Amino acid sequence: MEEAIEVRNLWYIYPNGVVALKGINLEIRLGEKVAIVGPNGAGKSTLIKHFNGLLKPTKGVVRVFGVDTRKTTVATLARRIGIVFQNPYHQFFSEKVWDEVAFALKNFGFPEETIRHRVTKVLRLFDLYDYADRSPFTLSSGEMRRLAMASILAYDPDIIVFDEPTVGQDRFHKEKIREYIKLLSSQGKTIILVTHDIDFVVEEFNRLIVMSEGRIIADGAPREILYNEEILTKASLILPQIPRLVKYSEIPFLLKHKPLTEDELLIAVLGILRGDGGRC
Amino acid sequence: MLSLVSSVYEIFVFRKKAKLLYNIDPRVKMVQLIVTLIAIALTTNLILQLFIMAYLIAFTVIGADVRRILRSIRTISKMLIMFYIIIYVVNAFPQIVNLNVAFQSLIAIFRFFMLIYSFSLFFTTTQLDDLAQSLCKLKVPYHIAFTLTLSVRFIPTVAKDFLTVYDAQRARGLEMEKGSFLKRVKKFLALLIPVFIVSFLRVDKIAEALESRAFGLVKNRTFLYEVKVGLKDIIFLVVAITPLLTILYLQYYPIYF
Amino acid sequence: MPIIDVDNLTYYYPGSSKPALANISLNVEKGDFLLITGPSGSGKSTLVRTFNGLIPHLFGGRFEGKVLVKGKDTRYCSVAELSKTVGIVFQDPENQILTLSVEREIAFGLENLGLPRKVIRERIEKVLKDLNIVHLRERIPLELSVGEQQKVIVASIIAMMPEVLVFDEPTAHMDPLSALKFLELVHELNKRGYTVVVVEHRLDLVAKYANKIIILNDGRIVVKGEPRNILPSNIAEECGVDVPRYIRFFKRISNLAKISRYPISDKEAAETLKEVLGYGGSY
Repeated sequence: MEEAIEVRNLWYIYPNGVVALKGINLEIRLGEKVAIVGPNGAGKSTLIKHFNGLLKPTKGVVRVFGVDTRKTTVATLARRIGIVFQNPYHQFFSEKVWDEVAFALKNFGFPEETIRHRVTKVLRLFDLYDYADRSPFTLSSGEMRRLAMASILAYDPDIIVFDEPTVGQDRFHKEKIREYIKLLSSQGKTIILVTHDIDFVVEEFNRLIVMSEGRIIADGAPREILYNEEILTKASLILPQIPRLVKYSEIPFLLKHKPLTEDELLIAVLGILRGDGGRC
Repeated sequence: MLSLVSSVYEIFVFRKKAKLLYNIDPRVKMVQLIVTLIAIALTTNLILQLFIMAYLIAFTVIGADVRRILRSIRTISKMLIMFYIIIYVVNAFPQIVNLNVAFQSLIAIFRFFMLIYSFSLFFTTTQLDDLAQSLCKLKVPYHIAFTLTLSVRFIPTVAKDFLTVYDAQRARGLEMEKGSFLKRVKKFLALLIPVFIVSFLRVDKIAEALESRAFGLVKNRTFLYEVKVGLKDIIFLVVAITPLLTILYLQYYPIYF
Repeated sequence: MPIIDVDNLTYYYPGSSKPALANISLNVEKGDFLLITGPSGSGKSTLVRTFNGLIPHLFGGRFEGKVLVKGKDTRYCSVAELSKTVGIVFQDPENQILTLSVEREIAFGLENLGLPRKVIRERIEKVLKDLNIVHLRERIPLELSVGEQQKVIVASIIAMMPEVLVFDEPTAHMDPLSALKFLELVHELNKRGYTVVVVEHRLDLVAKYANKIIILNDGRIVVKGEPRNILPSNIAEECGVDVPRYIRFFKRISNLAKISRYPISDKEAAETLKEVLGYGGSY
């Protein structure tokens, strides 16, 4: 598989002197689904801004599809990596929903006909087609988030980064976001999700990158990482709900199987109750 | 962009220190600032301008955070060099080398530098709340004086919003460097409108916070730290104004050394 | 007498034909820890803003029914007046920080109340110590972390010594560990005698502290009661409330194993799990 993003010894120091990233090494391949987790201030947002060149390395190198981000423009990189930022209000400025979605396409120089086709398609996908002529500011907060996603997906980037998509969302909307991510992944998109909401991540992602204080302290399967006390303490993370339950229960069988979700716990528990494997 | 905003912030933000200027009444410092600005504006003689600079340095050393000011100077100097080049080129055109213009541009930049320096000296040593309070003592209604403080308090927030919007739009392919002048103005709307909207949305929330903290409940609200003009401040005022007035005097009634 | 008494409240935002709150009646007793939850747009934030008069005074609109705070009708009391009894901590600290130093931030409300300087100074000292933020006294609030900022806001509010503390999704911008610590602080405050009302989505972190829970949906109270009874109910699930996963899990195996009492904390859940699996243990 081709390497979509390659990060080598990345250091980043903000103008006010804060060292946000301390020697990050990372590879993300095409089609992967990766979640980057860690507390506030760990450097997650700083890291992803290097992927499309919004920030350039102080030291080290970031290559996207083989291109050094320092040798190209943000617009060129943005064409292939879309970042959906946290607050839709930080990007909406058009009179109509349609224009908002078309904005990026226009910036990238797509022909009129393509723009029309793509905008229609993506509006339908996100159930926003009926709102095409409305002002983005008349939408509900859930609809606004969908619009923000639609405006990025319209130009069909290969890599999509979500920056904290679940902050302040209720269960219903989190589910919807999860569904969209699933859909995108099934279409072969590379997905990078930045969040501190570990529960959200556990269901869908099979690669977890844990950041703390500017460093990557773990990179691998969620199951191993989330049951590892040391990593969690270093990263100031709390366990997702089901592993928390398992940990408190101290039941050896469960600790061995490391269930992450309700379903997995159910299977493990049924196993115990039926007497196949473990005490009863 | 980020470093620009960051450095400007550092040049003006207040951080408490136990040095002289931090303890002088804001009104007195305001008078000092105004007279300094007048002096900077009206003096055309280079030697006198150097005297003003010496004056500012003296006050910095006695009464302010030297290290911070030095850092601010370092960050400004890059910008100043750029401005200098622009002013020189614009004024020397079509010539490439013009010593007179070079000299005049230097004076202009120097003046600009002292301007910023004076403001920086004032703002880094003055608590805005104290400034608001001293305005109240000059019979300005509290809620107006407070509006001043509040606006300044939100400058970093709005700046942060602007930077976020700038990032979000660039991430959608917006290129500010390209395009005709007209196109660029339109592009700027993509930056301006979200910032406005986010700021407007904040206003409601700020109003909620203010109300919930009993804002406006009592006619004579207490001020924890009282600003009073005492003997110290009067002496300071005299010591501070005299050199400036002397410099202005020498500007108009030069004594030939 | 309940400290907050909402009596058949119906409220319309200005220009709106659909009520944001409809026929709400509830009581908050002194010392309660009331948890308010529900899907987005259900009226949670609207409801708590009626507790200190922001609604109707700041927002206008059509206000039917009444809200009594310590017996006083909020329609006839100013927000500033009510802020002496009910303090609200909102979601985003950035919009609540009004000054440029932590000390002055805490002093702000007290200055507005017109308290004498000596009293203000005492209260600042006390609150800095109580919340363990003495080291933050001279800092610029904007430069602190979100968790620290919210703590400063809480300090500013409790310095005003209200009897009721309302928190409107206070942990929205915090990471889980900070949220956990913050909610522990809220619990602490409740133990010290403050009546607490919390609007939250993160029920797994806070349900165990509450003695009362209300679920709102579409501006109405769908159900109210004790968390232990309400959270496992089908109604909670239907409303899309973020029911703690261990409760959801135990519901799923409830036809296989008898769940005598649904847990509302991680520790209780662990005990229940052990019981179910025959490991014994009780709580």
